[in-house]
Amino acid sequence: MALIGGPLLREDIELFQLIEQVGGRVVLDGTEGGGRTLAAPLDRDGLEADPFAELARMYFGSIPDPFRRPDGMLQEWLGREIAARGVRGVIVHRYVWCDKWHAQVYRLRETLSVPVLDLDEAGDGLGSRARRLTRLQAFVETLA
Amino acid sequence: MSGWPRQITLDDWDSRYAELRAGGLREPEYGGPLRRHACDGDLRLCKLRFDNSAAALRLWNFLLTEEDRLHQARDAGKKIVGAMKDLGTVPVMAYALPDLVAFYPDGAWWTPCIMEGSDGLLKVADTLGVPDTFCPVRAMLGAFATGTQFPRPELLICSAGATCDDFSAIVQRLYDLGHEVLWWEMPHRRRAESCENKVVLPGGFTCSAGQVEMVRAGLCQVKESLELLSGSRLTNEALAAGIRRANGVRRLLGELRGLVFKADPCPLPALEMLIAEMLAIHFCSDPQETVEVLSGLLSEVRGRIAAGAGIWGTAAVRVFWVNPVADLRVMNLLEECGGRVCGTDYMFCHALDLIPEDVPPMEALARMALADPMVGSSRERAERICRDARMFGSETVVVSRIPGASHCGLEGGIIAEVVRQELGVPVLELEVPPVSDAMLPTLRTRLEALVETVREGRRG
Repeated sequence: MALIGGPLLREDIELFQLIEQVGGRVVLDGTEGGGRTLAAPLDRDGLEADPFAELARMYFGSIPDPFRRPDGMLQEWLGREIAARGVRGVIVHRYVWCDKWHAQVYRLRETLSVPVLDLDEAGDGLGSRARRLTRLQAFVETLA
Repeated sequence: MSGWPRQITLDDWDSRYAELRAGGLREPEYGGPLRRHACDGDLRLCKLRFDNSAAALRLWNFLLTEEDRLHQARDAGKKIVGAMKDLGTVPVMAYALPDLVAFYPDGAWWTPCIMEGSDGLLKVADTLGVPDTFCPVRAMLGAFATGTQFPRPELLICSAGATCDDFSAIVQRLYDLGHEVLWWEMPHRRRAESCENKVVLPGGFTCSAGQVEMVRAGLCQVKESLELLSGSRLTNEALAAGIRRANGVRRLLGELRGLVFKADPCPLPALEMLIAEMLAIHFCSDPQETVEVLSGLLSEVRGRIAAGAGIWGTAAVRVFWVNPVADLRVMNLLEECGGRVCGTDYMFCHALDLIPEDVPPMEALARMALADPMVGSSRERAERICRDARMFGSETVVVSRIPGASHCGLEGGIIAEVVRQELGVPVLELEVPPVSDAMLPTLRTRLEALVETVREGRRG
């Protein structure tokens, strides 16, 4: 599975265990705190030539995110990583108020070669664990 | 003054139009009876109440024929520019170049209201993955997908960054559908740090000189694209002249707002004033005619004030209105409940403030863009609302939420808190969907309660 989306709250960390519990495994963490938002490796030559330009390249030039316009970098990154890691399904974990991730869901379903689960949550810590579990379970079953 | 002022229905306009024609009314080529727009599908007109002046007739006809104007421009070989989200910046540049016509595709957000949903634009947006959890501006996506509302622009320009999340996401969907978009970055406006140079923006907000420079650089890229499209160079002189023309429109609107919001009795209804203010954003695709339309309204208003004529007397409660309504009918409703609009922030105050003419023109545009009330904090916006409400003598503030609009989630509470602290007047927050018929009883009760509260306060 690829788990992608915005920042995870403390109570969301259990998502990883729940996915394993229903028979899945996260091989790509594309949430805000995952590998997606790591800056590109520092280029020493670039740093010496122009430190500000190098910093801009490391951060602005490499981190894919739905806030970017256009957001093609996110699509490219996902396509590449999904192929490289043998991802069979993508879980988009988004908060109901986050329009940018919400609008991504339809686009991802259009463009990705694997099924996409739209896991929308209120992010208020009061979400139903049962709902979350059922949806993950159903998603994994469809992939089996 | 063209007769004693009153509000009339579309049915009344049939006979009123005949009366005006018989009295020698001269109209521009887009003129004609309002009824024809309703027959063409603008069904909401049947439920609105309009000002009965010839100037208001011209305003409505100007607004409701924009699509025809865009098609005529295309047929005449002009290039069409869709200026999204900036609400007043890019059109000033576009109209300073020959053979370009700029319009405001976001304006399609009112189509589901005007056509009472018969346009189907929101349903099309649903099918494109943008459901009703997004702002009704998603109708724009439907308009582009169906191609029914306006000709496809040669160039689409949109500001990104400090932009409503839902709008940004909608335009990204538009891009995904194959519409090239030129993005320019608008930073979140912040006050200058002690180590930075401070710039005072039109309308009184401030920011750092660095932010002005950043926006200026972005707008220079937009300028290059417009030049490429037009095939002409946009010189500083031409842009400065364009700014002066835009300021001409803004001065007319400034005078109109000042007269209408302060006069007793109220010389022009809220609905016509809302439409008039909207003209400042992109001149309804014809800057020269915008001047004529506004001049006509101003002349009518001056005549009414001189004659002591108006529509709402001193009993009407003076309301400052925040955010445009998704359903135009609600502007009528406010007046039916005993209110009148005396001050507005329809999210584009920066399109009403004068653009500086004493700095280089690209910098002037950057300053104007940064004066957008929506690119800074809600608290700053609220402070401006208080200043303007004080100036117009508003007795209460209504914050009108737009369903699904990301900025509406929290701003109302912040604005209400600041207004109550600074002005000590009642604040009402309500939500207006594109067609509010089902909500009208609730909205009426809430507005009536607000009016009663203010009147009770007057008795002190």
